[in-house]
Amino acid sequence: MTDETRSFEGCPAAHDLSAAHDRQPEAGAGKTHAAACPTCGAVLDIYRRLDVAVAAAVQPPPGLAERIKRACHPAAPPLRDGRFQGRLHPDRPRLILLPRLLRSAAAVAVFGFIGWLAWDAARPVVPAPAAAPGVAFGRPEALLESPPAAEPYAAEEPRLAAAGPAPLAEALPPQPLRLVNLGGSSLPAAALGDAGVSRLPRRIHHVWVVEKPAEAVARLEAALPAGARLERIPGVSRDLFRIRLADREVQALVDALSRNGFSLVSPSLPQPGEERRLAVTGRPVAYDIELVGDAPR
Amino acid sequence: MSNANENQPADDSGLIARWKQGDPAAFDVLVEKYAGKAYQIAYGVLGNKEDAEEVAQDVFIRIHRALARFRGDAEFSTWMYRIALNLARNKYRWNKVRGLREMVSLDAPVEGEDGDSRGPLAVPAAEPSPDRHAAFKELEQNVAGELEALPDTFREALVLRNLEDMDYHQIASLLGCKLGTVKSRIARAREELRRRLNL
Repeated sequence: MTDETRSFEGCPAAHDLSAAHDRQPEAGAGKTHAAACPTCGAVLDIYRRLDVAVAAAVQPPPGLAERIKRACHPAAPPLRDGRFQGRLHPDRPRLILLPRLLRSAAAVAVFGFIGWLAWDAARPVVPAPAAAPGVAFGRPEALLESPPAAEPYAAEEPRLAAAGPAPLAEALPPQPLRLVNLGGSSLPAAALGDAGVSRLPRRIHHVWVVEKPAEAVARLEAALPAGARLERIPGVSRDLFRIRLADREVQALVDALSRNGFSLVSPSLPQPGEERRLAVTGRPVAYDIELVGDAPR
Repeated sequence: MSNANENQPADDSGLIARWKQGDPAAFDVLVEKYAGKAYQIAYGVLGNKEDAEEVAQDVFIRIHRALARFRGDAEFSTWMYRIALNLARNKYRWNKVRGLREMVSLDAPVEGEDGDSRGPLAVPAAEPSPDRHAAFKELEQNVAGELEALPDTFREALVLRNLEDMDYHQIASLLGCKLGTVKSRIARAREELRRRLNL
């Protein structure tokens, strides 16, 4: 602490004061204290000035929306200088060309992933205790596992379920429940939401943008876990596929696709690299993948 | 007079419906409405204006490709935020692989990450500025520089907080971390800016 600064006992911690500044209910005692304390008031004044300065610093550049519109509409008329300027920085590699540039690295990643799957499948599993009522909870970084839910597969989306060739329970035998954190305490399933952790639904629909859908199908098949196969959903003209697999395998598949240059545009879980948000049970799920080409419509 | 419902999700749904029916201008309205936010999210992750602009462009290129399949399970804004965050993180990893920018270590110890106390506040002595306006312009310039130098996780949370209508819960959901982590990161970002700027 320097000479220019002073500390005051009884003032809230910085994170409470910051939350009070943001008018968040998580401010705790900071909110009431800050209203009456001149010392904290001075800090809040600094936070306000910082907010204004940050907002000014991250202002989008002028003309951004116009440039984006031109990039999204390749048929738009050229600019006055006669050159179409769909790219903001033509000398840089475009993000959607990333897969091409990383193709060799992606191939290595796919083989590594397949090897990992083989290793994972060969690992011994621990049967679940029959009386376990909730989620086995240990370190928050690890995948959480909970008993399978009993809800029927077809009840969630009967329209889509009718499009599939067979109910999941018939197509994929349930996997044994494996507890990853045997030393952890249990948590009721109802508390999942409070812990910021969710279970996957029985059916997941994700749209992935890829450079060339035809080639992407082969890469998708290569990334599938052992025993899973790709089924084209009948009756639709789009590149829509269904994969039946255990819910604990979906996150790894999403991560693998993301590493392989597939770009996920659906906001629902699972998201690449966010496995800590999931509680998995080993129950079978249907993962519907729609591939959208990264070329002008 | 502005329309009170201008920012409501229903309007986005209407625009998407119009676009699906063949009205290209509806997509342009979405771009005008959300381009800035896509840029700010990307800037929060990347801390670099040129990269943020490129990511913002790619966000809408992807949305344009996929909008026909958008089923409306989530609000358009949530969808857009998610795409922007994913693309910005992809770009971040790409930059890291290529060593395009000096990376701040994400492994540096972050005490109080989940909201535990960091001790009493350090408060500067009162020292009123003779020219507040000039002081603010200087502060603005300094903040812009220091933002880029902030640890990535701090900058990400603070910039998202400065997006309109993003509360801690929404930021936690978007970043996939706990509420306490968001609270701590925002506070630490502010404290770090204070420290660096001698405020």
